[in-house]
Amino acid sequence: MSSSQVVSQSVHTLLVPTTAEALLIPSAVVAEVVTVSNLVPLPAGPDWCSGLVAWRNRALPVISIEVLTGRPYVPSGPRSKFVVFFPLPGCHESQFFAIQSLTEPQPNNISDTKGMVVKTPNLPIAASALNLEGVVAIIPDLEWLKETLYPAR
Amino acid sequence: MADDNQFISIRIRNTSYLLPANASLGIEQRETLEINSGTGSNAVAWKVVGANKWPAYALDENLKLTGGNAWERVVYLQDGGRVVGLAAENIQIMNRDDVQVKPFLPVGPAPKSGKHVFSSSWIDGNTPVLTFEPSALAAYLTVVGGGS
Repeated sequence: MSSSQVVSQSVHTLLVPTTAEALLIPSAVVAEVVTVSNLVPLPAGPDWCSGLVAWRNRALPVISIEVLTGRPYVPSGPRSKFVVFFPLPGCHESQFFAIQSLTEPQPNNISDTKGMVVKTPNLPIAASALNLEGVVAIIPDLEWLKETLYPAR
Repeated sequence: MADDNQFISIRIRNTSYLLPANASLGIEQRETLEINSGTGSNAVAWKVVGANKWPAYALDENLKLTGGNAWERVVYLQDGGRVVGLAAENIQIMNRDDVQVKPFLPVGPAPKSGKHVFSSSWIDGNTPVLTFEPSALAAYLTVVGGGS
């Protein structure tokens, strides 16, 4: 969705707080929100991969949005959650991943973005941005996210 | 030795990994190998096979080449026409019935050798255990080790 577009239908979203900008993501891309559990390192993994957790009998990479957007790493706190994403379009069915949320993500039902669209932050992850009652939320560019997480070989 | 129904559990720097047992050309104990005592090679040891010497390399927790003596065994793999070994603190055989692996592709760019070295994972209790993709691991060892 570009910043010039407005939502004409109701969209269920989750507002995912991070210590950088909040992310606004369609609920449909989220498989589950889970309590933080112990991370084990991904050997030779990128610095924005905080590690791996066990989820539904599989290894799930956890992504630090802070590091991915050039900020310092923030360890999980007592209220942190892992937001598990379904595999992005074009990815293998096994390629679930999670991002770390500062607190429980908040559901939002957005039916009209008129007056909410704000200047898109100059971040590659940002497709556009909305002002949600004073909170600037980035709508992530999922194609960029896919290419960053799973670069073509 | 090479059994389709087994995995090899490889312990490196207190982390366990799996390798399909049928990918192994053999597991050698330290005392059967020629130890590198400072030849300038990256290998920690070699298996002498006739006129050939098969190098073995040690990796750290970030899969970077390391030296030292914190290894007891080597598992050998085929890399095209070459044979290359991975040194480990411990190596155990596990039955496939005890290990349920699921596909896993690491995030981020693949190493310079071309392919990610992990292709699946197993959850041991609540701990992810990554499974090496044999040909990618062999190619990786050859590239980082320098092949000699």
